[in-house]
Amino acid sequence: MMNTVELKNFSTWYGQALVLQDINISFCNHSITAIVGPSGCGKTTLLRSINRTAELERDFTCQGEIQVFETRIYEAKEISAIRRRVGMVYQIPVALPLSIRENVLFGPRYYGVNKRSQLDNIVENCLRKVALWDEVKHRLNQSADKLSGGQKQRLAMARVLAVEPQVLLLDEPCSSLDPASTRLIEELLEELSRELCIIIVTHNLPQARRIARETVFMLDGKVVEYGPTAALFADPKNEKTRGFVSGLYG
Amino acid sequence: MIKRNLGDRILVSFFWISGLFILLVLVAILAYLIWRGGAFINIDFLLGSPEGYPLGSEGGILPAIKGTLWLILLALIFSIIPGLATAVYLSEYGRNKRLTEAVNVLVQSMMGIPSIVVGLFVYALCVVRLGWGISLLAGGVALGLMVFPVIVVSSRNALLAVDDNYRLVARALGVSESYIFWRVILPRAVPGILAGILLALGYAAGATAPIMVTATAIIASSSGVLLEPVMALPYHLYILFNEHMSLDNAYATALVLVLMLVFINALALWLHSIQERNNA
Ligand SMILES: Nc1ncnc2c1ncn2[C@@H]1O[C@H](COP(=O)(O)OP(=O)(O)OP(=O)(O)O)[C@@H](O)[C@H]1O
Ligand SMILES: [Mg+2]
Repeated sequence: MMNTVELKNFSTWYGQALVLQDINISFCNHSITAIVGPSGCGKTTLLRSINRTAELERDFTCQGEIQVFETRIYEAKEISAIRRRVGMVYQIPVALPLSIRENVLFGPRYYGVNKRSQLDNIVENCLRKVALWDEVKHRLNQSADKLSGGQKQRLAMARVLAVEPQVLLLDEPCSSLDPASTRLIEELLEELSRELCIIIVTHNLPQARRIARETVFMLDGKVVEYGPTAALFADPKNEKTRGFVSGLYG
Repeated sequence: MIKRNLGDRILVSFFWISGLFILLVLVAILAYLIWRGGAFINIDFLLGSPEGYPLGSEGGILPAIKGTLWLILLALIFSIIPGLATAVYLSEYGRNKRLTEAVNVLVQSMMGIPSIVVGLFVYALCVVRLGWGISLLAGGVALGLMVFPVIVVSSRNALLAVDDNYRLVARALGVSESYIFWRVILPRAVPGILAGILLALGYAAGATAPIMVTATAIIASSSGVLLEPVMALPYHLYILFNEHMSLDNAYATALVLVLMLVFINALALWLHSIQERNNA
């Protein structure tokens, strides 16, 4: 299987504080990888490093290398192109204060798509991919503010998919959703993983077990253990991983 | 009804009484002005020029109204563009920068400059040094300088009040900062920015000190010629009172000015409430 995202000796700091320490890991294409670990261990920072949005924070510095499909992203000149290829969905469902349709088209319009038929296609395709089309097709021009949390989260995914990323990062996407919405999003991710490399941070260990082919366990800015999900949960090699999966930390 | 303890009740009553007291003072001022001046406001007063001897003891206040409108128009022209540009820099581009903190402090202290000092500065620079003379233009510059920090601070706060998550999710799509600004941030902040501008406008309309030394004359046609002196409501009022020309006309003028300000401020409050609702 082809390695899509690869980190080599990657470390980051916020000011003086070392947040990620010498990370070496690679993520597979067409599969879901879960990242688990106690609060504050650097999961969000890791995700945001992969689409180069971590550097928007004050005093962020990094060292080492990240490759996305063979491109060294920290050497790339076009940051915008990197962010476009590596989409990210956040913990809080955010609908931009625009109509449902314009939420989906927010990226494509920036990247110069302006033919009506193309735009219509993008809207329908992306909303279908996230199973939102049937719920909203009659009110595409209404404000997206009124959608429910679960719907907003799916809309956020559609907005990211609309710029055709190759990698999809999700930071605890279900943490503010009810079990039914969570289940729906998990199904969508499984579906999407046929075309994409998906990396999901989750605090919900059963969720990682349900959907992730591989799981990464992080602690204090380091990768402690990494492997097929079933093996990692059933027979952890590391003492700390064992403690975490049996519920001792976090 | 929730049962409150005694301390709470005393405190709450104190707040109520303070609020009521302020309200009472405001109503009293308005009522007094209406009682003393209301009867003298009519079409001739609003659309006439000062007449009689001494000048202003009879006739109307149209040139003063026109002058005040010209002055605030110029003040807004001079302050809105640099004010908004500064606010956008502070909230959008200058985040996390040293310069931003310095500019914030600077703008905050500009608010504290007494308006007469602003007036004297513009007098020295524009009226004397640049040779504009006592003029509408100089008054506009003085008022613009005076309200500039008000516009910066209110617009900056309106922009900062827009949910940061919009910036976060939009940046992650790779789109540029200015695209996000025009499509998402600015539309959300517009009511708050307008409210700030109106507040500044009210502030400029009522200010006397800065225009006294830069722009106003006891009598002028106020036809909008930039390098000629103008009349203005607050200054006209000051003259009427100070020289005891006509107290009736003074109260009527005061009433016109206050009604104008109340109207502007009510509009500002209304816009502000829209902004609050938007960003709730
Ligand atoms: N903008 C920032 N500036 C300074 N320090 C930060 C910043 N963001 C995160 N940190 C620090 O970096 C460390 C890792 O944070 P991060 O958000 O990546 O953790 P996390 O694993 O995602 O935690 P959680 O599970 O609670 O979301 C924490 O110690 C945090 O305090
Ligand atoms: Mg996090």
